[in-house]
Amino acid sequence: MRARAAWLACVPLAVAVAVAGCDWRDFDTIQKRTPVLAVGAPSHFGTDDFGRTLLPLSSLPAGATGSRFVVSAAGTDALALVDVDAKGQVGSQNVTSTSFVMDQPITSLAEVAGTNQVLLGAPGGAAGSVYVLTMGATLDVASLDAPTGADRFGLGVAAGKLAGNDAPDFVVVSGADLTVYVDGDAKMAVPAATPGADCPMLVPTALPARDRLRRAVLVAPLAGGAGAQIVVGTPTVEDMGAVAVFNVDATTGVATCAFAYRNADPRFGHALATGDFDADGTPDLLVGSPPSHAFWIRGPLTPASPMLPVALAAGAGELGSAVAAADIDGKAGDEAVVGNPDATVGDAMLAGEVRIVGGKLLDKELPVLRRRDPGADDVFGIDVSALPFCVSGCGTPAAVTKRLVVVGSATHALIDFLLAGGGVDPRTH
Amino acid sequence: MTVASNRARRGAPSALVRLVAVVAAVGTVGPAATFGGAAARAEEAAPDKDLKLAKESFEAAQTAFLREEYEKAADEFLNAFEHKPFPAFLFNAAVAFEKAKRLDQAKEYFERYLAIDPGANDAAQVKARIDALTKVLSPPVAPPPPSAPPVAGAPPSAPGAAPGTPPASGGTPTPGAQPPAGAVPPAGAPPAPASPIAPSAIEPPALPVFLTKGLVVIDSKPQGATIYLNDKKSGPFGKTPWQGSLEPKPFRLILESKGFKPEERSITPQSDKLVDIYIALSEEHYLGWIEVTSNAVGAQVFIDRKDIGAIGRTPFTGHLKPGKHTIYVEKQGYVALEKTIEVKPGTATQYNWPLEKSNSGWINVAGRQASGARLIVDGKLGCAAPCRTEVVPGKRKILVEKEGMETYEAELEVQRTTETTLDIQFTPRPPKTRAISTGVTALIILGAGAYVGHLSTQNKDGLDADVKAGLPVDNTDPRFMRGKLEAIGADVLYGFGALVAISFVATLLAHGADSTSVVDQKTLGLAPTLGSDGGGLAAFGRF
Repeated sequence: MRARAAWLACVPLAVAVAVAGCDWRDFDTIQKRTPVLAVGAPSHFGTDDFGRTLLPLSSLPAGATGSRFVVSAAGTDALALVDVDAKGQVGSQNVTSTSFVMDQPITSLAEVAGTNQVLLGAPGGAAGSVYVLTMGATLDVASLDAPTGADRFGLGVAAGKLAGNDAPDFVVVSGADLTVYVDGDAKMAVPAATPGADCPMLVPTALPARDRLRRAVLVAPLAGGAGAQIVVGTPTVEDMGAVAVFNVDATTGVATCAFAYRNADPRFGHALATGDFDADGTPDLLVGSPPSHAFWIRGPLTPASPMLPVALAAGAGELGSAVAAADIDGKAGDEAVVGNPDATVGDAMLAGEVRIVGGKLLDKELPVLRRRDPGADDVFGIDVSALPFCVSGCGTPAAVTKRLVVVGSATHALIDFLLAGGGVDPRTH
Repeated sequence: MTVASNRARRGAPSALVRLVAVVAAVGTVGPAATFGGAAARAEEAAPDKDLKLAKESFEAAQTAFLREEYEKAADEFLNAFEHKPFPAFLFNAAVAFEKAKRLDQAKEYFERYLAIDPGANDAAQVKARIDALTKVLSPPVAPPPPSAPPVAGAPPSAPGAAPGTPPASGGTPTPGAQPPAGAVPPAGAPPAPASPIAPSAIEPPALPVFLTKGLVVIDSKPQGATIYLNDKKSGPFGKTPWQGSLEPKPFRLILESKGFKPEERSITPQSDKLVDIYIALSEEHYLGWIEVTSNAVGAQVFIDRKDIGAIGRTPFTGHLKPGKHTIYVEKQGYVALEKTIEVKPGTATQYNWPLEKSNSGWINVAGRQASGARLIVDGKLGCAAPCRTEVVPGKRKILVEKEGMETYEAELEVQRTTETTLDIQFTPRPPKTRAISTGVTALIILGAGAYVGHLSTQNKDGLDADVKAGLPVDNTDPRFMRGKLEAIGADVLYGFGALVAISFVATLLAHGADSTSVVDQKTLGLAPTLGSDGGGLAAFGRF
């Protein structure tokens, strides 16, 4: 009788506990629809070395949705391929290869448009290396032959249609030279013509180590013609920083300096990006000039094109160390996205922030992007990119793609879904 | 009956006593009671010593009066007056003195009679008598001339006498032929000669005869009752206590008092008797009287409730409030009886209820630890131990409970005419301190769980609000981990608290070693036996 009474007394207790209990899965539900998706480091990465170098990819594997990007580490030879599906679920895989030189970080990345290849620049070590990652059924890595006597080979990489046949050409920039691999042929290294004083190419070794990890280089049709140009940024320690524009001989692949933009800021040219800011249909050039500025040059570029300052509120830190173009507000024309990873947010030093400036003259600054809970040494904004996020028709010409903002930090790559063209979350929850 | 009556008169009687007094009065002075019987019984009923002495003196006086021992009679009347100052005693004394030819004293007591009772019915006659005596006692005067006319204003003859009839001179008046008051000697009567002899020694003039008065004393309890004579049409006669003389003829006496039942008596006053009537009025419609008898003498009688104990034993008599009552009659060895009766006010009812012999068994809870325990048989309270209670034979579930002790539980086969004695050995119930501390611990843990759960909910609500507001919350926000840990922690605390709470309940309901009992069964009975010399009943026992 008493035992039965005891058990009967337990029933309401159990019910009470069940009713009053907390379900931690509620947090999982909320976690899946946060406005910002923070992608953490997989294995092979240090806990504070993931997100410093990001490369969004414009093409997805067959049948995939969402987006894909490559992340490399600055302190080790780690490399990862990160996939974000349409629901925002993250999958990543480490990329390893016997070709990688041990302990030689890959610090520069470039997508070979129209292919499933990525150029990986590892400028460390004695001479530096550049690898070609092919993402087929398996991940294959091949190396490019470095020119003899190259200094920090692979400090900057880019790809685009420049010369030769229809295959994309590889551009590899070292500490002082530029080499074009016509048609992506690893054996067809074509050194650039000596640029001369008008187009300084030497990145001084006296720069802070962080600034010497990579250099900005891109291939884009910025001069107004059908062909593309190579644009290389050359920051200095004390001299004027420079951004040089190279034309490439369509037959031989020899790059010749056309002209260069110079700025009193020594680190002018630390970061480069292209976008149509003024919405005239012509790509413009965005130049990061840390620690305080960013400039943009309206396309088509000419030697006389003015360097227009991006209207940024004054800020301490490294404003301009990373730049990108993305459509944030949903209106015509891209916005300039400028990272300041050393910004102090609240009491958190080096927490970092990202400035966004819109308007056809890049004179209207939008709300600053910060982490909801910034931490010291986050260096949020150390890299910024526009991440294509395929919503439907992925892998076909009719693909519908949103360009999200992905921001690198010391530990995470943070994808902001609400900044996609007017604040509409493209994820299918 | 005398005792009952006396008790009734001594005051502060109970309702029972009052009713008995009424019954006594009814028996004493019934509707057919005559004066004599009533007087005798009334005498018995009179507890007033003075009245009793006065009555004795009065009757002695009357006896002496009849024996023509008038002086003795007068003294006895005065003696009676000393005990009870009824004016009639003075009147009778005056009459006796007059008979004894002590006219001065006769006159004196007539005067005192009037002084005490100036409104007496016969005041005018007495006053005339006094005047007559005064004249008789006055000094002799010279006789008027023979031709003198009669005294103006003097009646020509005694009232009542036939006109022209000469009054009797010097003769003794016929008893009962009482002359009218104020009668004076006839004009032709020779005046009393002047003489030095004392007036008392003088032959009194021929005066109309005054007879002694009888006395009626009417009293009631309570006093102040309204007195009616014969009927109520002629209005109230007086209020109790009342004393006075009434004509010697039968009367119907009616007493009424508000809140009491009216009483009627037949009385016949006599001129030579003191009639004392005392009536204790009964309250109107108050109680009924019952008597319960049974073949089982000494059976317990319960009225309406058994939990307050028996109110008496058979044969039982008592008064009950009017209405329905349930009467229980119980005696060991008999089947208990329950009856519902209707008691009507002012009635006396007898009930004789035979009880059937029982074949039940008994359970006796005894032993040193039995005190303070309760015996429960089949879920019903049997008795408060140490005790013995009757149980219907058969398998019975027995519980013996005692504060602070483990309850003794058993199933007993109770047999007919068998007494089962339980000597309970109680074992103490474990103290509740451990249960209390466990309960407090459970509350603390559950409270901590509630607090941590509240923190978790706060985090969840904050995150949800931030997400809905579009703030740049990312999935690594520390509130996620904190909230999850808090939720898990809360659940763990809830679970642990629930376990402790279950432990608390179990501890609360836990009991020590079972209480035990030594069970002893004895069979007692009577069996018919046949022997060489005859038959009989033999007692037997089985232990």
